[in-house]
Amino acid sequence: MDSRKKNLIEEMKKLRSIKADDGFKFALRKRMFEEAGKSFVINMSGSRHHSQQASNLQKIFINLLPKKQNMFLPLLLIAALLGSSAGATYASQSSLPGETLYPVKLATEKAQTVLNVNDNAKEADLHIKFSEKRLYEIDALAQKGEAKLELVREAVDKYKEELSEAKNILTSASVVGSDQSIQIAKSLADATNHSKETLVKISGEVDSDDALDILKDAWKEAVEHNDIATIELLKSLTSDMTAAANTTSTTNTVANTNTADTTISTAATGTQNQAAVTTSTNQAVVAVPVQDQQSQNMVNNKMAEASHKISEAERYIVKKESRGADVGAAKIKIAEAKTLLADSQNLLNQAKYTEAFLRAKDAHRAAQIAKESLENDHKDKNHKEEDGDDDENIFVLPAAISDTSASNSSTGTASVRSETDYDQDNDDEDKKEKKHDKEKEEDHD
Amino acid sequence: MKRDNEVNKNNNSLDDLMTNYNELVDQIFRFIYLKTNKKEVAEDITQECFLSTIKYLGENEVQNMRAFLFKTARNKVIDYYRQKNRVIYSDEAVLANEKISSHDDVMVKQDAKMVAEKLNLLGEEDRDVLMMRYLEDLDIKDIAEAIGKNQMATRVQIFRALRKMKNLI
Repeated sequence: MDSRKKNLIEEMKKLRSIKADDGFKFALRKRMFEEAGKSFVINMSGSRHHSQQASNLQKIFINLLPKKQNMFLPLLLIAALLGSSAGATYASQSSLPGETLYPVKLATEKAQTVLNVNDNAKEADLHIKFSEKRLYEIDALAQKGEAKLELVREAVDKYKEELSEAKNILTSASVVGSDQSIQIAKSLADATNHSKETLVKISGEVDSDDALDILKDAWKEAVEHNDIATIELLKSLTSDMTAAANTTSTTNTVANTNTADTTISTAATGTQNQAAVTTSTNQAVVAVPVQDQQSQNMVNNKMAEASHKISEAERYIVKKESRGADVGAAKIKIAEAKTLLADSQNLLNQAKYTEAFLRAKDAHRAAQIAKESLENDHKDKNHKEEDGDDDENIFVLPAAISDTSASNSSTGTASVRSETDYDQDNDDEDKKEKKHDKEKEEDHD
Repeated sequence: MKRDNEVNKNNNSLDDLMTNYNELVDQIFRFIYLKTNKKEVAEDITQECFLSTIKYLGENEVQNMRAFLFKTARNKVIDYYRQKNRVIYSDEAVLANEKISSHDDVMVKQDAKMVAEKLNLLGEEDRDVLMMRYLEDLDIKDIAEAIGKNQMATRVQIFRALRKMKNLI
């Protein structure tokens, strides 16, 4: 081939820079999926090419869908079940409340849970995942400025439903005491903690008080379910530790590493432990402190929450008192809360973690009641703006373990405050952030 | 000169379509664009190609996916021109003037403009085979299938097309 021809060919190759737009490719792919789905659904029954076609389309789906989510079977099955096109099903996955395809999305989710009734862990996971989705949807709406009250309410309702379903599974007879229990409990605990963060974020994005009320409702639900999950976890961990402690005592080698260990074996087996300081610590002793630490953390967190609530209530009482309200009953309630908290500490020292946790929860509740009893007294509009700055504290992330000097840091919207309050808050908020960060670091093991 | 064809001929051609989706879309789009010189039109026709291929695959097997796609693309472009009431083209009838005036050329880089224009002056089939052969690196076998001729005839066509283009300077 002569050089001129060669040149021509080189020139032609330069045209390779012409490509289709990414957006175009993406959209086309979606449409191909839709097209394939149409044929599949329509021809599902009684085509003589059925098996060939099915395998063809299966390959199309497997390769057209983004690699991460290979949802071929569930989606198509669901589409077939629902009689909607596979394309709509696929497209609905990212839809938000208020959009046309949103009901399809919900139906898809429901179908997924239906498909997994036999697998407790899987089903619980789905409910937990869906609950998180509900909050993300509100977040997305809020960011677009489309977080209408009705939509938020609906989403939160669904959020609560999903949590409830997960709880039901967790507390069902077949799950309690099983291996799945820890797994599901951990999932639920993590998800609800994450929910709190999401709710804090959303609360910063919405303006209306009504919306905030609804979000508070969601928050309470998150806390409640987090508690439930934590309790199940503690129960499971405690029984693990008991088992481990038993092994320890039978082999009769106990390294006196910390008092908690000692307490456990004593409590569990009632035997005296040998204070043998050996380097060859057996496995049981090594395993126990870790779970120990986890349990302690969980209890401490709850106690910190309770302590925070108590302080908050106390401040509120002082304020109300200065306005002439009758705070006698409330003060008694606070005293009760403090007693419960002290009780909780005792139980913690005895390594009775589950009970300690429950006691701390009670303390929190008592403080809450104390505060609420006073709120009811002044529920009229005139005092609304003064009451406002107390409610915003609900959106506070779990305090750090060492933070017992409950600071009044709030992430809510601004309200009527004095200058000194504001300064105090800034300081406390800094402290809180540092401790929170520190806690996050510690959790990274 | 033939690059390593990552399309494994042993596989089902459907796999070819799916696993090489991105690459194939680019190829078909480019091919159609250079024939029609309008980006939107090229996108529409590309879309039609792939969608009709999917439909077709619902009932049929396709052995050679790449050839099939190019064949479809060629047919779709013919349909497009027919729809627009163009004179039915043949190898000899060149609508060069019209094509050049309706360039949008947004996609062709400066240094490639020359060759793009030369290509436009060729007959449809001449241009097609050159693009398939040198731009898209298709096998002779594939090109033959795409244009509906035997392999020998295809080789001859390519040879002659290249010579014509050389002489156009």
